[in-house]
Amino acid sequence: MNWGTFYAVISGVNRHSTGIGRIWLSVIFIFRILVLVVAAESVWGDEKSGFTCNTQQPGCNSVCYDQFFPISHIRLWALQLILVSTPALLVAMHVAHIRHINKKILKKAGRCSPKELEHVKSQKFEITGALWWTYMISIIFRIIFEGAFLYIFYLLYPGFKMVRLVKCDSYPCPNTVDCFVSRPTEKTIFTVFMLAVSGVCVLLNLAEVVYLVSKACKRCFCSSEDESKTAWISPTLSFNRQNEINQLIADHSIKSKFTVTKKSPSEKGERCSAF
Amino acid sequence: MSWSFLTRLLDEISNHSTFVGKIWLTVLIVFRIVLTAVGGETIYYDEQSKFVCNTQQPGCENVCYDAFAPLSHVRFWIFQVIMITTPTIMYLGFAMHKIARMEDSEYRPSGAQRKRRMPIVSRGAVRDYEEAEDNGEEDPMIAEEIEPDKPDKPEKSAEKKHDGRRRISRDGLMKVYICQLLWRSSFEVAFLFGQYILYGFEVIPSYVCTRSPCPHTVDCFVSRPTEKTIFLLVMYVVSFLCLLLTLLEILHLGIGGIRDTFRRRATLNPRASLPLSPGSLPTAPPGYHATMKKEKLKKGLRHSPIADSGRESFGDVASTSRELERLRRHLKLAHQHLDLAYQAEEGSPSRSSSPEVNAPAQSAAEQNRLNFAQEKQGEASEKGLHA
Repeated sequence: MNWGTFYAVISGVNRHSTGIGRIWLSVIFIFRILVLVVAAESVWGDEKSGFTCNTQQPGCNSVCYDQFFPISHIRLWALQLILVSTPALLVAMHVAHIRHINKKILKKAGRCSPKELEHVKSQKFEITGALWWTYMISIIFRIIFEGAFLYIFYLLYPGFKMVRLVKCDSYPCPNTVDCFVSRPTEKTIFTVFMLAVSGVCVLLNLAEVVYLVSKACKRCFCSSEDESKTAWISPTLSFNRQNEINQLIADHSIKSKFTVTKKSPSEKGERCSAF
Repeated sequence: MSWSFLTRLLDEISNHSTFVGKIWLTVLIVFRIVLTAVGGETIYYDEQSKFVCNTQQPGCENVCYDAFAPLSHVRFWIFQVIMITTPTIMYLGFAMHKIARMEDSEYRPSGAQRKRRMPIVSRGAVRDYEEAEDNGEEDPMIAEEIEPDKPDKPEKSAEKKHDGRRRISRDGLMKVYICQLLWRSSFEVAFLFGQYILYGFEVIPSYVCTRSPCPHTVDCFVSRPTEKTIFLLVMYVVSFLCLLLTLLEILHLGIGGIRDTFRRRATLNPRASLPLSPGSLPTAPPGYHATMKKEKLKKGLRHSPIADSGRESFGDVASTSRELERLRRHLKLAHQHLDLAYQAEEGSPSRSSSPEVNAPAQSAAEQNRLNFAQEKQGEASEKGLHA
């Protein structure tokens, strides 16, 4: 599992996250992915070869293993991590889209100097308007996925303890045979650890939701009503308005006005200094 | 993605550490992470497969191995390393956040440049929608707040000092830094204790097991016990070394802080012993001299106990009584000056006429000079006593 590429993709999101989002990202990488790769994979490495049943009947071993472990913990955690981290890419895509539009505007205004393009690339966006909604949706999806996987875990492997002994009587086992799991205590420790960290991540996501909502409410009260309505209700309207203004400016080609309009999405935040 | 991720983060931390902190970091990476990764792989890879029990009973070996090693050494050390580096990484995140909020003129980042030399991870087609982010974002989790500034390169190289202590205190992060050091040392102690409780100091070559389904008491044999014992002892020593380095760093910061406060007070002391005589100010209002003198008296009293405590810790009672004497003398003088000033006011109707006001002021100035001379003599005699 090439976690390096995964890390490279996800960590780009870090630039556009809130403080809590960055903490969440650190917890994901250090306490979940790193532990999974470095420690957990070696614990579950011999789960099939170490699974021994009290019988000489060929095939009984494999059948019993399959019955009690439909999907290994490791694979389940890997899937969980991938699905939980991908909503963050929504935010990255949205930011890329905004940058693309800004670039287009620049080109239209006739200012394609590399410095200007660099500025657009490295421009940091306030989490307002449409970006706010994208961010909220990504966090909600994260919470949903985490919850779903915790539930699946509970369904497949009820209880946090890894059983030491399982009794299996599926065909071709001749009778009820005892089968023994390898390293059950170590697996229990890791299961508890990973579930605890999942819980912490869910709490962090909830905290981030609360934080974003409170920030948005503050901004609502701070700024004027009309502008807040535009930001909340129709993100496209604000874009169209921006395009209109930029068209006017492109016609008249006045530099100073352009820099003012470029800052308009983040104006509200600056006025309020809610962050 | 394995230990390289953690080591890259730790490299970044070294820019925000003191000299001792950097040593700790090196010891951690070289001795603990590398040893765990390399030694762990080669010594412990067959720990379960070669754990042989003196029985044919299926399942007995599994069960006995589980009883013998509820948590393998390697996993324990991995947890240990992760938990011990967590406070430092949290500090790094906090420091980055705080520094990013400071003005650009106050802080010139030096760590971001290193990131450019890091091997670039292939990102491929997945980054299309990101539209070519800069190379400076190789480790965006760390470096994203600090945007590399090319023309400042020569400045940055000058900024890199071995002693990051002043830099930490300049950035206002000293308390948080010490807090993370304390957390680190407490984790270290906890893990050392846990290691002792779980594993002791030796790996026994044979383990006696009575768990079901083993039919009776069976002997089980551990693979490579001597090698594992040596490794265990080496890891004990390295943990102790890291703990010692952390404690040294705390001491280093403490001593450095005390030294800095002493230097600061030494620069303030000569100012405290400046002449108390206000000089002749004919145009000043009557009560001005007295009030000025009183203020200077207060300042002098405030500075002298500090200066005294800096030199010696005993003899406080004697010094306080001497100060009381001094205070009384000064108060007396102040009263006299006030009286003179009021007399002068009664004598002359207009305040702006200088010669009438000058006379009492001059006599006051003379008296001040005499008093100052007396005080200097007194201080000299005290110094002689102390020395």
